[in-house]
Amino acid sequence: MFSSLFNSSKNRGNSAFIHLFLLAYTLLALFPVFLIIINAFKTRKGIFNDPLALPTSATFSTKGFEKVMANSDFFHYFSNSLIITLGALFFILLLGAMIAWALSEYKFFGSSFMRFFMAIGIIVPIRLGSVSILETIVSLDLVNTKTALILVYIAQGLPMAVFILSEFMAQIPKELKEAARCDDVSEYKIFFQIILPLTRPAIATVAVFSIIPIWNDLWFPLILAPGEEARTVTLGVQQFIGQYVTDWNSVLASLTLAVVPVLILYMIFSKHIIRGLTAGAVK
Amino acid sequence: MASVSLKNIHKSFGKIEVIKDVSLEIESGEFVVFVGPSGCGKSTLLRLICGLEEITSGVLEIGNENVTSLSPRQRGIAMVFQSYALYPHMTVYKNMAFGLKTAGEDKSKIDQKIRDAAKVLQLDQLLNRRPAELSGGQRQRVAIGRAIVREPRVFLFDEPLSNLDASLRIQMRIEISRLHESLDCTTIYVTHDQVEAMTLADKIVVLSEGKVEQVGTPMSLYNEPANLFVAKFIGAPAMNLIQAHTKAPLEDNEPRYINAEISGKSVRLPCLSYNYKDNQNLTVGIRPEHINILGEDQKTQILEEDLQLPVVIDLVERLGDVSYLYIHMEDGTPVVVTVSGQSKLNIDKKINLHIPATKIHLFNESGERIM
Amino acid sequence: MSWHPKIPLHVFVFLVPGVLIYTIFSAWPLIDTLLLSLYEQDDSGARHFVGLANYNILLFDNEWSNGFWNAMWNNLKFFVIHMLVQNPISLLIAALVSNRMLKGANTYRTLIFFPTLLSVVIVGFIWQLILNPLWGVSETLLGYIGLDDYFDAWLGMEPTALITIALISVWQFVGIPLMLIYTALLGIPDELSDAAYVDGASPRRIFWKIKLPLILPTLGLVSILTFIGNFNAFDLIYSIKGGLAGPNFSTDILGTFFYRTFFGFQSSLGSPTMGATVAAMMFFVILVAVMIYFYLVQRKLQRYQL
Repeated sequence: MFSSLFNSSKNRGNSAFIHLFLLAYTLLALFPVFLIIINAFKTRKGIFNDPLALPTSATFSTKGFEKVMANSDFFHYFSNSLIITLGALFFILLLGAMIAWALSEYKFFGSSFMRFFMAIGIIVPIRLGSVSILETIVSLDLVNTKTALILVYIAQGLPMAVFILSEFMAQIPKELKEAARCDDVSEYKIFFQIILPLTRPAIATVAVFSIIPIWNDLWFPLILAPGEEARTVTLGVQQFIGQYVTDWNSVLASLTLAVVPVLILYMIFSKHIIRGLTAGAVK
Repeated sequence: MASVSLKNIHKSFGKIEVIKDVSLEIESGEFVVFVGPSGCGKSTLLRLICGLEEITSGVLEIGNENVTSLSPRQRGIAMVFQSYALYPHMTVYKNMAFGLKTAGEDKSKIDQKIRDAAKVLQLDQLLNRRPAELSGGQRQRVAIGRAIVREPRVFLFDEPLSNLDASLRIQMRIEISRLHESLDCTTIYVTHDQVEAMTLADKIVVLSEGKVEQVGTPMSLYNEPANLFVAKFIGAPAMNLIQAHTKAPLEDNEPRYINAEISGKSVRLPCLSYNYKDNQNLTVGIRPEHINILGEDQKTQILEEDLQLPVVIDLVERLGDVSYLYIHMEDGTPVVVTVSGQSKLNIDKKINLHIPATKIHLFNESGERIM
Repeated sequence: MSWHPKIPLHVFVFLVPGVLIYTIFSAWPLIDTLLLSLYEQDDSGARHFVGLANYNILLFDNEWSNGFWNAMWNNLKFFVIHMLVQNPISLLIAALVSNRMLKGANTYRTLIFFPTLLSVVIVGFIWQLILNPLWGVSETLLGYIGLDDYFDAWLGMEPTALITIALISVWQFVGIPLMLIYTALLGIPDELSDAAYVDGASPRRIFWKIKLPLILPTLGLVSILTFIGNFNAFDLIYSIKGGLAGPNFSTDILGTFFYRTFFGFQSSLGSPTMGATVAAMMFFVILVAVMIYFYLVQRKLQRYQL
């Protein structure tokens, strides 16, 4: 379609202009990150004398990284974030799929209320309940634990998961379940052995939607688990940089350490992530 | 109204060549149907004529004017799409007006054109509705109306009836046919349905793998398929194809015959002119309705060169007006025979097939028709 | 669906674990926060019902209301900047990359989406460094296009700090509306644009007359999502400007105001009940916006069957 847009000589110029614009914007999107990473490998002098230059043998230095490693427990924070994100993700997917199945498959007393009840969580940000959440966490004696964050993130992620998964499950052909019911398969087996495997594409979408806000969150780690023990990478970087504001090597190095894993994962999974996002957005 | 001329048209998507050197002359006012199996390039060819795809090489002329690099609008064509492609957010009226407004036509003139077209297509009452509020047949008519008001030199239809149910399809087929009569506008129509092709066309173009297999009137394609592909494609149930191979011509052989062997039986196949050698492969084609059952029809006249084959019936399909007998020959070749719907023939019955030599189609090793 | 008079056991089993966690850690806290806004806490920690007194203080008592209205006003500006910059850019890029004839469209889309994945905290620091006059990177870069004279310590100055932060946020989040709009554009059948093209419409006319009207519901969705996201924002300002949202509260939005009210900052003590009141106000603002959205977009804007 629109082949003509790119055919005639007049439009070829048009297409070049489009590429120029997109290229410029892509540069704007990536350059800041690139700048941080190249400067993280330079000496202080190198950083300030020529910020735009790549590190050379004269300016190369990993001093920042050494300092970050020595003065902060970066790997500890990293593993905390990993455990919290994956833990919450597992339960969001499992419990979300269970609720979605219950709501899309069975009609029972209060099922439409239940649907509305879950929908509230999509619209109203969970942060607004922070005052009460903190009190609950205190009363459960879970302050400064990974469990507290996992529980809150499950509650945060469930509504969207239920929404996406139930839309998807409603499209699974009735015949599949009915065939199983004719064979006297239990409702649990139908869910775990037929529905859950069929839901995989939507589960991927939910995973993408869930992981990013959890990994990047600053708010709940800040108010529920600011202590050293359960500190996440996002909070750790925030506090570390807060302390070493003027130490450019350390700041750049810690930012690089926070960005690079995301960058690598994105390079590997970008196709899945983008597909997951667009698939979910169709709904 | 204008003639359309395709000269050595090629189209490639990347390295894949989908249209291979197609040349075609379409006369002014003619109704031409492109037919072929899915993936044969018929829709692509239509989109090339339309201007939705760029022609890789070759020349397209409409009304003796080279339009190869012009936009659809400049070519003066209008197209009816398979899914109708009605603008969902516009009323029927606005759908029809969109193209005219784009061209900057006068408002009252647009209004007149739309009202005229709406009358012809019985859309007068529906002008303020949106596509979602219309039935399939009504949408189809709006799509046609949108094309008519443009007063194009050439109408293009891309499988316009494939989204309709069977009875509506027949009704719309007749309407399109009538419309063409009254507008007398050059029309190119793409379909995979050979019934549509046979009933609508002045001229059928059979396409396969990006090439034109045969061009001709519906009946000439039916009576004289140029090759095996057309023979198989036109006609339902399809023409029976039986493998044969030639035997050394006898000294005293009359030139009007080919000596051959089918299923181990020697036969003489009538043929005007064909120089053949020993042991060449041939294909013998015979339409299901041209095979007789010996003993069933009293009037059957058997000539010397006609084939006779004893067979057993595998299956009978009774459609009411006719019945189809499914049979296999000794070497396993399946054969379908059309008999009267009242025939009492049943499964497992042994019968003698009579294949009249005058009704046979012969094809050589490369699938070309032998005269 | 099968109808059962009572809730059968297996439905119960499917629902309970998830709903319980959701209720305890999300739904109930929201309700509890709304209730808590009606109480007052004395020095001993005991709470007394005070009706709407907290709201009266927040909205009309100068000591509180100046800060609140300042944050509300700033938040509104923050939102308007997103609507005027982020969403048009997203729309433009989505329109360009949804063209199937454009080579490398997927690559552009993937790369432009990348910043969205980064933590807001990281993004805040990155831009803080880049805009830092000490480092001078921005000035150098602006110099290349002859604009270095205009450079200033934008993040540190009252008139420009909020706009700068909003633009940083736009930089990061352009990818989300981009994806939503892009998907909606792809959902429009090719035949529709083909038909319009055959009708003689230029690509520009096809976009404005055919595609844009068909994706209006998506633009509505993008607007409300932007609104909810903006009126709930906190991380970026906290990481760039800290809880005090300087200079002189010029970057203070409801999220940071809520944080300070709840936890206190420096010398001032936090108050759970006033914090709950601020959160409740944020809730009402979002609620009103959502109601307007449902009224306008869901009722007035027709969704067309494609």
